[in-house]
Amino acid sequence: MSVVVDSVTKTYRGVPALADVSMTLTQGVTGLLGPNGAGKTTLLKLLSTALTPTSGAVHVLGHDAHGSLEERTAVRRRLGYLPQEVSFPRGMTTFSFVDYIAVLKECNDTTTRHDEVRRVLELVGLSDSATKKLRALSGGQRRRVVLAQALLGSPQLLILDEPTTGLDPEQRASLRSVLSGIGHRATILLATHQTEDVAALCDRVIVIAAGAVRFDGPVQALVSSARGKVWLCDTDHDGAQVSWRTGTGRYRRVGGSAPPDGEPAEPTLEDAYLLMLGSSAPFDTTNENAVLR
Amino acid sequence: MKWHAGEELIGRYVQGRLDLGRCASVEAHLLACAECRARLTAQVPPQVTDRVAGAWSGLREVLDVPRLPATVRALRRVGLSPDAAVLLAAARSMSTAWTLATVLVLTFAAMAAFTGTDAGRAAYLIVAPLIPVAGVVAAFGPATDPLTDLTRATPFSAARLVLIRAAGVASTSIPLAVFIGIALPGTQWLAFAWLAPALAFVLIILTASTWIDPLVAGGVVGVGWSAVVATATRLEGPLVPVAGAVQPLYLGLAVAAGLVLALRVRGSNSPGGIA
Repeated sequence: MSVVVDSVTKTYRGVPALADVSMTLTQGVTGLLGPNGAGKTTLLKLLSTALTPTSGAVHVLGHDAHGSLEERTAVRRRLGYLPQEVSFPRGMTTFSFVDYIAVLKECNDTTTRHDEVRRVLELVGLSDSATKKLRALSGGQRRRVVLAQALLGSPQLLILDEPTTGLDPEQRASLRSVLSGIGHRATILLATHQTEDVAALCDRVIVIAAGAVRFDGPVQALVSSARGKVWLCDTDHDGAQVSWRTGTGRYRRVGGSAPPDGEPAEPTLEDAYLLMLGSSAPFDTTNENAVLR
Repeated sequence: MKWHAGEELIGRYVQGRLDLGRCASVEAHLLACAECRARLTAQVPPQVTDRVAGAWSGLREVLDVPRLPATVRALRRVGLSPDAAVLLAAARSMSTAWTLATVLVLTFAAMAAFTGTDAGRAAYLIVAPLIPVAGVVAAFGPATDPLTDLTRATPFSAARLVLIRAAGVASTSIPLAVFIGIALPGTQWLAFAWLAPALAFVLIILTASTWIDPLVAGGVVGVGWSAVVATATRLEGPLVPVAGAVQPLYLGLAVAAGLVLALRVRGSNSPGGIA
């Protein structure tokens, strides 16, 4: 196992952000879904060693992520982290920012470091913006700069907190291509609100809500759990968990009872995710093909 | 591309035997045709390719790597390593704007001392040691360093980063403050009298920051020092807090803070956050 999270609890001034969370991560891309305030960012900060848990333990590639300084340093040497929010220091250019993080990642030889900075900037399609001031870049470009620093040194564990925020469809597709390539040799945890990114990239998805794991299993198992609970109908009926008028003029109804004019529809990951968040029933997170109990 | 440059034409281009018009035409074509570029490369002697690659690499270095702030360039000239220079350049208090603001504040404080009044001297005494204090506080910590989360996730020692930055800030702001103090008449020995308090304050803040936010530590030290100087000015005169008899007290405080800091850092407690 690349990452083992064992009964981790994190509280902020007595308020729990994560409660007794356990999971393991292996090589490949794992999606992490959850509503705002679910505890995703806290979990990612714990994995990145930027936070310490109130109780429980995190082991990354055999090292205790919150143990001695040597153990934490060993984890950090194998880690790439893209935080949800980064406010950049004034006056920095794209190149100088990534170069700065490369120094913090102990890449001390100037020539090697600069070559590595150019490699990751090329990987995220920002070679032409190397000399631009960060404040002159668009939101999507700045997001890619932060992704570039996470890729420095080809880390074995990549923790990405909402990497696609602000990216246009072409940039998102490009990012998927980069991540799927890296996923063959590294462990990637991708926290996002974009269910389509998870559906496109991940074999496995973990859903957390209110600080607890609600689902942990194959993406297809979560999608299957919504089968028979999604319909297309001509009129909007009460009782759905969520429904909306689609571009064709028909209503997509997720959850609730089958409407009289309802035509069963193939569920998407988003349907299943919405259903799961609205369900008070616990999800079985122990079976290999975790499904709604 | 519907046409390609022939081997003979490329050969003449490589040997520089084309007139300017044909040369420009071949170059325009080469820019758009990968196949002809590959054939051109095959005809260029390896030593020329290496020379061009070296020149291109050098050019990229010049273009990609931005100019360091003046203070960091000055430290590079006296032996600061290239990677430490990158770390210092990212600190807000090493920026050219910060340095200019420092010069301005110190000049005004020194001009106040020039008036020869107690209030003027007190103003200078309050400001001078707090300049390096403010610089150190602004160099690290969650409230002042926007990259704290990212920094904590890297293997670079947080304590080492803070100490490099603190040393960088102190070694540029203190000489500057002394120079301005000497340059303006009226301050005399006052230009040096605040050095021991400044050293003690910087070390106290670094030590306190292993428990609390450096901004809070800096604020407490700043308010405390201002109160001491103001009170002394009102009761006996502004020079009392920096009198010769009091100087050993600051040095003692500096040594004590340095020892506690060393113990805290050895115990994996870094100024500004977890190590």
